[in-house]
Amino acid sequence: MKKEELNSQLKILIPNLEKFAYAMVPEESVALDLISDAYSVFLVKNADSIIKDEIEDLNSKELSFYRKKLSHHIMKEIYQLALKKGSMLKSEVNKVREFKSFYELDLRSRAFLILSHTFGYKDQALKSFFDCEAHDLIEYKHNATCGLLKDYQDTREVNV
Amino acid sequence: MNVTYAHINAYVRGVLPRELESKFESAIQDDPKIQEIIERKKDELVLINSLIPARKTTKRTATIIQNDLELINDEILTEEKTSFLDKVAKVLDTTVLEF
Repeated sequence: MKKEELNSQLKILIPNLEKFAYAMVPEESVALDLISDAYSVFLVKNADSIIKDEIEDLNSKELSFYRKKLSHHIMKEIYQLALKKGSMLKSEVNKVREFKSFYELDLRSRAFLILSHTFGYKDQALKSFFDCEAHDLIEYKHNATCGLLKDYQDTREVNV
Repeated sequence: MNVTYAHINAYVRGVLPRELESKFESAIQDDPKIQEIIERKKDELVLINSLIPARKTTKRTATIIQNDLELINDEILTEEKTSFLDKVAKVLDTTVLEF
């Protein structure tokens, strides 16, 4: 694959990559760093196979599938890197005022919510993203949803 | 059709297979209890979606990211350089053999 073609595919993925990185850390410059670092890691790991990929002959459906795959792997690297930088990112998370209940969740729950709700990931893709089994997903879903709605459930109980 | 929670969840999220959708809808038609569950789940879904940040990428940010990624591609993907060197090596090999 030529660099120009890879660049044009990446351009389409940018909004989703930013959305995901911003879900990991709510500070623009840190989120952008996270994307660059994760993309470097992804490319170092996969440069050989990416060069061999011949996307020139793909039709629009195949190209869309290719982009999904690319986005999946880059977001996975963003997530892995965010986990490693955990304590460094925490200070940014503590400053946040909007979407407080979301940012109070751990990284895994945040990743789970944005993947399943914003990007419409199904179980198979989630299992591949988190390298886990189906029963783990049930736990992740429960933790993420209950954590996010914690304040709302409390309020409802008080109102009743 | 036996309606399960998996069906309800898939229906609320709009991912119930099309062939099951009409069967599901007719199965719940006369069941106010399930309809109530569906309404509650729909409300919950709206609430969850409203609590997840939906960051919109500005033109400026998109340009910054695009430039960064292109720079990384230039640094890491050395396809052209390798193939050019290969070509030179091949020419030299051929030349040596011919002599």
